[in-house]
Amino acid sequence: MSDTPWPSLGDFAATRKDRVEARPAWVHPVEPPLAFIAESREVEDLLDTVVALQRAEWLQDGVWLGPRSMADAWRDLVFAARTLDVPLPPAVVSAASSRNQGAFGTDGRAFLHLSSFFLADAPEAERRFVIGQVMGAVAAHHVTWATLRALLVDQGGLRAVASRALGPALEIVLAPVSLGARLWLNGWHRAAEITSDRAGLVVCGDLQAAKRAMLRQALGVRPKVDPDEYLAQVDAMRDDDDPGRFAEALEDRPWTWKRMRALELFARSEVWTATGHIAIGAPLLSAGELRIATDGLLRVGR
Amino acid sequence: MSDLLHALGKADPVAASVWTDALAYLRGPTRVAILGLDAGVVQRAARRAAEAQPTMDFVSVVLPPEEQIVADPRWLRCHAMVWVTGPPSPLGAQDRAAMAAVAAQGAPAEHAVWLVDLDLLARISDAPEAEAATVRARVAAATDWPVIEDIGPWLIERSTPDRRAREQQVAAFLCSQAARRARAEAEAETDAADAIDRLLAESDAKVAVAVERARRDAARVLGAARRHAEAVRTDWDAFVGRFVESLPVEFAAVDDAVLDDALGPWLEHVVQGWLRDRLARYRGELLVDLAETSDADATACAAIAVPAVHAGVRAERDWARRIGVTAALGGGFALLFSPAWPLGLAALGGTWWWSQAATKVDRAGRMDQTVRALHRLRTDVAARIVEQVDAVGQALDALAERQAAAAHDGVAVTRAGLVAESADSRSRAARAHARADEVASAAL
Repeated sequence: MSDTPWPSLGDFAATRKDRVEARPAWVHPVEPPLAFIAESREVEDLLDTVVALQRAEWLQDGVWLGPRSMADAWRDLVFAARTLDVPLPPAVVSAASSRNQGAFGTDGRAFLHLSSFFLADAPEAERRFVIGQVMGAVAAHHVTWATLRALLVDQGGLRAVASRALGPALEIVLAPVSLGARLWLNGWHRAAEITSDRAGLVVCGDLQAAKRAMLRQALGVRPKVDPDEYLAQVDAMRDDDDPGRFAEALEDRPWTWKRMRALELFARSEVWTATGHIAIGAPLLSAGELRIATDGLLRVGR
Repeated sequence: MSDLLHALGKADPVAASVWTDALAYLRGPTRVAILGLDAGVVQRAARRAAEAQPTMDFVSVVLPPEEQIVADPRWLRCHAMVWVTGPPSPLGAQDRAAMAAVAAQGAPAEHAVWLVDLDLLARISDAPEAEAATVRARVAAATDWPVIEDIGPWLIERSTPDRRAREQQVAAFLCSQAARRARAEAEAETDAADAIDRLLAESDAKVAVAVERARRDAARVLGAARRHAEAVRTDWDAFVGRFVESLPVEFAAVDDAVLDDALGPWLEHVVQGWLRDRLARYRGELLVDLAETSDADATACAAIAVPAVHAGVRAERDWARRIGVTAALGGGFALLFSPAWPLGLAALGGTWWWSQAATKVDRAGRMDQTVRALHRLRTDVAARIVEQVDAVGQALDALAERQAAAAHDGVAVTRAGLVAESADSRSRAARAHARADEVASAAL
């Protein structure tokens, strides 16, 4: 109806519900439960509000990443955005722990929260892995659900902020639902972490650097241990009869060794070679084989 | 002599060994070397000399005419020497050349030309006396060495040779040889070091050219990035202007519900889509412009990421209302689980109604809000593009530094090896010079 080169507002509104946002091929295909909830305007408004408050708090003792503040990390951010074909999101750097880095907000209004501890002395490849990993949630449209989950299970203090800002009464509701939400959403979130790890590898292109960055995220410091040595140690120590292995159900991330193994699978798949990289290892896995192998790895208790 | 031997031993151990050996002979019975080009003549002459002076030692040395003559211990060990020649070709050119060479290679200064076999002329000539006179005259004219025909008296005169003088002569000769060899070695080492230095200079020049080329490429890429980014900004301004102009028509074509639901996402979709397309074109134009720039990394540095666009027509408006609504919703929901649940229900219903009512904004106000949001975006996006282009300069500088470091690293190992080798050669040359000087001064 309009002679402009862009869709008219009327046309856009008419087709909006049918519009399917394309996801990159490297996304591990797992949908969040009740995905339609994230499409609600009220939910988006709620998340925007809570996250804006949290972001403001982080910014009190943090900085926006920019060309004149932590320029090297900002260049990696631009590089990651170009590589993942994601609009360059704003990124806050604060004294968060390496594990609490992530993308928050909504799919349409995401921002990244990065750790100054991690970025301070990380080599370029590891920085790129972590920034790509965090930005992968944006590219995969996982941000709204990941933030909802963080709000419900109080990841990164998000629920505490909501409680402070919106009244302690909120805690009466959220506290009991926390365990249920954790069990309900963690399965999806663990799969989403696999997607994020893949995005990180696509950005940094270096499997060993990616593993080192993962190990550092897990341990908090730069460990003097080779990732392959760590994997060998895990293989040697693993006890399949240990009931502790089911504790993973309460974890929001797969065990680090599983993430490394999943990344190794990805790095020798057709999905990885389609991103312009050379397969690391053999035999080459098809997309279907990769999905089956990754799902098997993600099973709790394995 | 011990100083000399010490100096010689340091400079040239082989020469020192030859000297020790020669000295042992020179301090013994008188030794006379019988030299010549013809083996038969030399052997006969040696026998005659031995018959004439049985107490002396005679050393026969036959010199093949085609071979280069070098110092030979056989004559270095002797106190005197005679060069044997005779008819039919007495003291020819080859004889003279050999005599000169032998004299230069440490042969005894006590020497003479021994003219032998003149008696054979009687068998081959009708006038042997005349022929002999001719031979004598030719030999005398051909050399400044004394010419003898009877070896006996000449040997008797040398039965008590000046041994010290001969020892000094041999020592001086060996020292000069050692010094010459040391100087030759020093020159060879210096030449080798010079050749290595030339290689290093060539390598440095190549690295400098590579670094300069990387810097030139980077400057060209940055210039092109700035030029094309400026075009993007101009187009961006024009696009926002056109977009703003189109808003009244767009608003008129939809009802309030569409404005409520889709305005913000539509703005972001259109703006993001335009930016994505335009920046992809920017990259394409840049690639065409820089087709001659071989460095793909430098070109890749100049790509610009699409800035995230938040229209701000929904999410950022009316924060106080949104916080209030969210708090009331949260509180109401919490009250549902308490005895005061009817109050919670009422709070939820009232909040929902308030939320819906509060979002009703009149069209004029919404239009104004949208135009302001677009003008804000115009500035923000332009700033994001400018800061990325500025960062392109930094990235290119970093890339040029990495490339320069890589170019240096690529030759670093070889270069370090060559520098060490050059230093070693120069050190060896210096030591050889020192040895030469030491042995030369010792010989003096």
